[in-house]
Amino acid sequence: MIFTAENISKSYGDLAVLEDLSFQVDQNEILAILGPSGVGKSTLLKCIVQLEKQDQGTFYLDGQKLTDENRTKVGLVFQSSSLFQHRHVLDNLLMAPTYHKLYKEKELLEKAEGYLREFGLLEKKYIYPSSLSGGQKQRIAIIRALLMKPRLLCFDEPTSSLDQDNKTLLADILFDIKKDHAILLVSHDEEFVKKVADKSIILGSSL
Amino acid sequence: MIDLVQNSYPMLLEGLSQTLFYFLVTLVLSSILGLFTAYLYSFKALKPLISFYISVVRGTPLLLQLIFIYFGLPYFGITFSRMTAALVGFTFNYTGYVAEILRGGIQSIPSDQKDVAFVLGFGKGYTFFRILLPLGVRNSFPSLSNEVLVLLKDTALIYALGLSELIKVSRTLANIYVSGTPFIVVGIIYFTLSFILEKGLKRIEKQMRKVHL
Repeated sequence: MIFTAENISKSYGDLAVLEDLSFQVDQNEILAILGPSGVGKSTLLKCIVQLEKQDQGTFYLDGQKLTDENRTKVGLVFQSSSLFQHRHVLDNLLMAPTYHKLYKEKELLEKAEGYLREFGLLEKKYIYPSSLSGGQKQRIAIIRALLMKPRLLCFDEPTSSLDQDNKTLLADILFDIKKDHAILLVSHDEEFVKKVADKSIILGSSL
Repeated sequence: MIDLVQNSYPMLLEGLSQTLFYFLVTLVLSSILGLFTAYLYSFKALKPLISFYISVVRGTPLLLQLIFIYFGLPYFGITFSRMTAALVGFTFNYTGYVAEILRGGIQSIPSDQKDVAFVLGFGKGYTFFRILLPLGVRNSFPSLSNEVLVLLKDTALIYALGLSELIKVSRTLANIYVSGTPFIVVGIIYFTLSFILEKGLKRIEKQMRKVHL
């Protein structure tokens, strides 16, 4: 089992957002967390990547407690892609792996360009994010997350700003990534979830 | 007026060089220190201290700060030369303004940029200097440009410490020639410098927007 959430609870004042939530994500698996807005889906992701602290419960990655030491092994593709606006595409991709010294320089460049080629974005490598479409930005954000060699890759509402063609493209990418990763998807798009997810959870009950 | 300029250009040049010296040294020092002060502002423990410093800078006249440093501090056993007092005073003042403007620029960066930096595991210093600062400078560049233009004109305040710069030269020349023309000449020099500086800063701002937006 790659990722385990055990008895996660989170409240804001008197408002309980997550209550005793437990689930597991395995290698080569896409787990979707479904639910309408405001039920705590994004809060869950924020707790996983430690942008917020859960009140109770523990996350485990490869059997180890998820801490500040291993949290970068969990990747997150944000809802709004969130590329660094002042850096061109290639810089956006190289910054984090270079900072963490995950690759040799030449290897990293080859890997990044390989992904860009695979995702049909190689000619965009020196383009700034403002000149990219929503779908292109998201694919760059996925590559950026992949270059961090994540064990678990999380997606926050990945279809929220995509048209049908880009949704189909994203589904293909997810199937491809799934071959080497565990994926956690948070979405309110039931149709998309049915298409790509192996398992899904509606917050509070298992389907 | 042309005769006056021709006859007194060595004095005008000397005044101009002094004005530019205080302007450039203050600009460099306060940019560097303002940047670090803005960085320190992100440490919770230092926030009250920096807020107080910025309040003092903004809440008291620059002229008073200069006079206090040169004429007031000796009463507390701290003595500076006129030049050092002027540079300390300007840097003290402009560092506060630069830090405050940058803080505002950084605060206006969408929070997801900070969140992404955190998720990618960047350290505090790296996040500030490589991600937040470039975006913050871009956001606050119009205000920073304005401060640069104000600084150019504020250098005239060193006249109060008895230092020689364009204003002092204009007064000396007015006494020599018994005329108000030197003031107009110096006004034209200030206006020309400001005009060139403004055009340059606008061009930089335009470039920044073209590249980053």
